[in-house]
Amino acid sequence: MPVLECASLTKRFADFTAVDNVSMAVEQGSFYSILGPSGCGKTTLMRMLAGFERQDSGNIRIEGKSMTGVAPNRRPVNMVFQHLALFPNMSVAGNIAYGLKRRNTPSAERERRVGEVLERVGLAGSGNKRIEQLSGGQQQRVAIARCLVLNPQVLLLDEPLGALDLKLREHMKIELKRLQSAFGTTFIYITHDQSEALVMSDRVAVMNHGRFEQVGSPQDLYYRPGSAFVAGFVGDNNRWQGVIEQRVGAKVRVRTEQGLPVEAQAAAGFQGGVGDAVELFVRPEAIRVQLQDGGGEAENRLQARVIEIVFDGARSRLQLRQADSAQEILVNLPHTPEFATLGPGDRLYLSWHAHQCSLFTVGAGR
Amino acid sequence: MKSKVTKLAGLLLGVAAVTSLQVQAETLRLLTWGGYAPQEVIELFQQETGIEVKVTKSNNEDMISKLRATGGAGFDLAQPSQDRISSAQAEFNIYRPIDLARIKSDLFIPSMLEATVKNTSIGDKVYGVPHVWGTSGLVVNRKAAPDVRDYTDLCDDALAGRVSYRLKRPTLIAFAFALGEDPFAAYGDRAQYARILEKVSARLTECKPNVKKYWSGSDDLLNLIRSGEVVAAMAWDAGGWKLNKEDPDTTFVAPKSGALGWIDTFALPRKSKAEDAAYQWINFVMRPDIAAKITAESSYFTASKGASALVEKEQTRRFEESFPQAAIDNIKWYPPVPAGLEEMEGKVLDRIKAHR
Amino acid sequence: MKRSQFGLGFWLLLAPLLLWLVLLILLPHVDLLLISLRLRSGPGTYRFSLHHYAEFFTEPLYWRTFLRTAIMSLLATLLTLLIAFPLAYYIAKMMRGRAKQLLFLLCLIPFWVSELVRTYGWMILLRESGVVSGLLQWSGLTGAPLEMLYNDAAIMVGLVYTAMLFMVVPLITTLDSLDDSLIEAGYDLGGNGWNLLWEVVVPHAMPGIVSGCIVVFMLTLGNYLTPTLLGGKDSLWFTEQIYTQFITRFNWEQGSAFGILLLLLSSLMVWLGLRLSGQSFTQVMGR
Ligand SMILES: Nc1ncnc2c1ncn2[C@@H]1O[C@H](COP(=O)(O)OP(=O)(O)O)[C@@H](O)[C@H]1O
Ligand SMILES: [Mg+2]
Repeated sequence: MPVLECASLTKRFADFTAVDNVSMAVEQGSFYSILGPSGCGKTTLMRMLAGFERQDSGNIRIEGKSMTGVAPNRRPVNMVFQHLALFPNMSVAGNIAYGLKRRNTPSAERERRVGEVLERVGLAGSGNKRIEQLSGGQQQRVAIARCLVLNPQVLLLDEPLGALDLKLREHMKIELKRLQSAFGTTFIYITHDQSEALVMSDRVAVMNHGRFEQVGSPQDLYYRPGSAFVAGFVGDNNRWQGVIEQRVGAKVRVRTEQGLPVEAQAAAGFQGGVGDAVELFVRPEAIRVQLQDGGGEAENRLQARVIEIVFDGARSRLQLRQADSAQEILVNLPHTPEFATLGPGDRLYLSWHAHQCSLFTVGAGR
Repeated sequence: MKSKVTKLAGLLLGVAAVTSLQVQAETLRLLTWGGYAPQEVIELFQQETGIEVKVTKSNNEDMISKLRATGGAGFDLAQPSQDRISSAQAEFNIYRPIDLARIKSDLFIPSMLEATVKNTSIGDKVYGVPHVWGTSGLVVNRKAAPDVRDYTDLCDDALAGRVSYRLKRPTLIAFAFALGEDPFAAYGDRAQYARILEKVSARLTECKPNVKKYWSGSDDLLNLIRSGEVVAAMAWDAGGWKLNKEDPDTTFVAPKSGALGWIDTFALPRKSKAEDAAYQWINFVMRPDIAAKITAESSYFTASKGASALVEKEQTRRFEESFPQAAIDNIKWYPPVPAGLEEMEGKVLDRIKAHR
Repeated sequence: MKRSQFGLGFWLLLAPLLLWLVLLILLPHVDLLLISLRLRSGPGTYRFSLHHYAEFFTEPLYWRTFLRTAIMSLLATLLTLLIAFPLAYYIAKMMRGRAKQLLFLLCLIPFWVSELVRTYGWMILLRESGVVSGLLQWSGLTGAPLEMLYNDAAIMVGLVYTAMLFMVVPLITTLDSLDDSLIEAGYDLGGNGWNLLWEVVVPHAMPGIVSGCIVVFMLTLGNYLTPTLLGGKDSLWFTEQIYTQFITRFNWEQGSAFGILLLLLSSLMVWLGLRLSGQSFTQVMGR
């Protein structure tokens, strides 16, 4: 049985629907992320789970018990706030002990548990420090320890890494995942950063305009996006508009607006027929790049010239243009030696498989 | 740029013009009591002499304090009571002598002028001439408090919470007389005076629960009586007569042990800047026609000879009703206060105030 | 070489401030102290003496009035805090947008008129022939007119009313800066309203509370009009005593001694307040 379940949750502010008919089930001990652009309703959804907002309809169950009418301080969930919300007038230990005090835990046991949790989050001996003496990452861990010490059924985290700098964020991603598996607590994690969701999560729900677009494993979302929105939001993609020219079973040929013919493979349930407008996605990293025509069995093979090299270290990109159609294509820059002298105007040979394309009819999802 | 400079120059010229105008128009800064310088009289004076009069309302203690703080500057003419001049002058040197030759003495009631001159002299220097006189006694709503005849009647249980008086030296003096003492006779004998004060203090302390409020300004008191919250009070005669105009039941009653007579004077502050104007003002307001206007306006009587003939009949009737001849003869006129007494009185007043 | 660190411009800019401090604050107090330390030994002559301070301690009337003023001021400060805190919390935390500004403005309205007018307003309400008494009689709650003026409760009402703004403003400012998520975090961790108030809200608002209390205490201690007008025959306020000494007794020496004592008291109270609440002066006045 899932530890947290909600059915048809809806929340409106005046005539604006912030959360629209969302259902979800979170398994015990899993790391569940909700990924969506800013303003899509993630925080509102989480505040309903924590009890700070009342849903307009639908219900929330935690361990099978309905949470309707249960106040935030009585729910078996705890929340790590977007800006941490550590109590500035208390020491680190004071912050962590706050919830235990509210439960009338005897002071000896309280001290022991505070010490224990501090050690587990790697802050042993920092109990007497003031909050502002800690670095951003340490504060992060205190905020989490403050909740985990209470052994909540579910820990809710609202973009907790948002305020950290890039390097620290990368580090904390790993750290958070490690903490989660060490404590075995169920995490529900909100983020607008797809990389955070992909790195840490067991399951990810992609949210847009108050609705869940797709729920699945990171691999599902990456390899088998369920909608044009997911394909565009998760990972980078070449996104081309086009029209179906030919369809034979799952084999589909699309001609993009720029006139490039692309062979694609329709996923199960794809309804588009000849003449239908579609959106087609190809990931830059799925495209093979060669200096000579290497042949091979890939359905899509073409030549293109370099327009621009967008240097970004390991994530460097090449902006290309196919000669006949003027279709622009984004591919990864291979870091092998033969590409070291590459410059604008150079010719490259590209190829990719039909099944590496994602295809969606315009306006109707799949 | 140019326009800014011209504007600034214009502004400066304007300021200069205004200030010079102010210097040209003579002004008389008068430190006085409410009602002593009605607007009508001020306007008549300005028409006649071109002098502008600026009035600051005050009372005895305040006048002395103000003049003391500046060594007698800031005002051109003051109006302290005649009994408060010589001691203040001896202590603080805040007045300058009056040149009697510049006063039209035939405008004054001779006996009053003579008494004031005598009481306000130090050596052969004269510091005050009389202006307004009046008495302190009882203002009574005769329907609600028919039995109030003397100061001590204010302490009657029947009037609990319905009486008022000031917590100032006149009240001490009045109660002393009502208790059968003669405080004025004891002015020269501090031990005797202390004994009398002790007695008065005991009585006033005992009387405190009867008091609604110690009044502080005459408007304050008049409103208390008008609203019916207070039915008997120790107060100035003029106030009683003012109320009598509105309600015939209320009037001024001369107490059995004697009303306390005071005379407010004209005195020249030591650093007066408009001495001429001050003398002009004195001679102007003492004219019978002007003095009668002041009486009509404020119910106060003045030391102007012949003014009473011009006062309206009603006013005279009220005066005579409050003051039969015997009551006039019984008025206790304040002699000059010797230095040091006020300090003794002050402590007594403080203690009464502090008692609960 | 070091001097050039503060150039001519610096001193020119500082000059008005220094002048203001010395002329308007320091000099009068020094003068007050000097006057309080002299005793009149004859008409216009004086000698050094501690007489006026001795007088204060030996005359029960004076130190009792002093004590009473201090205690009533403390009480008024406390009452103002108790009333202003929920109000400020409501305005700062519960209200949004226009309603918030409107309520805040409403708090300011009484201060558009002078203290005298405000106090007379209370007198019209509370006096025996006044509005409240009239209403009570009209509703049949009392048979006879009721005097509500001229007692300590009336003084307290007037003092609290006068001081309210000076408490509400610093409180709203500090409470406004309290992140809502701190309160929510407290709830989320199992706290309830009461311990959140004590452990989160009050510690955060402390600088505002202390600065509000200091200002209100000093204002109340130095108030003259309200206690004398509303207190009637039993008002007994120390500033009234100072006024009496200066104006009706012509005893500037005693009045000055009282003034210095009052100054000492308020300085002591400010120090104690900061000490007890663990705040620093700059922290509090920065609000
Ligand atoms: N209390 C509120 N009143 C009105 N609108 C709100 C309120 N809270 C959130 N919203 C609106 O709901 C939408 C979703 O907000 P939120 O849940 O905070 O988004 P996210 O966390 O995904 O960025 C936003 O458009 C926001 O303006
Ligand atoms: Mg959010």
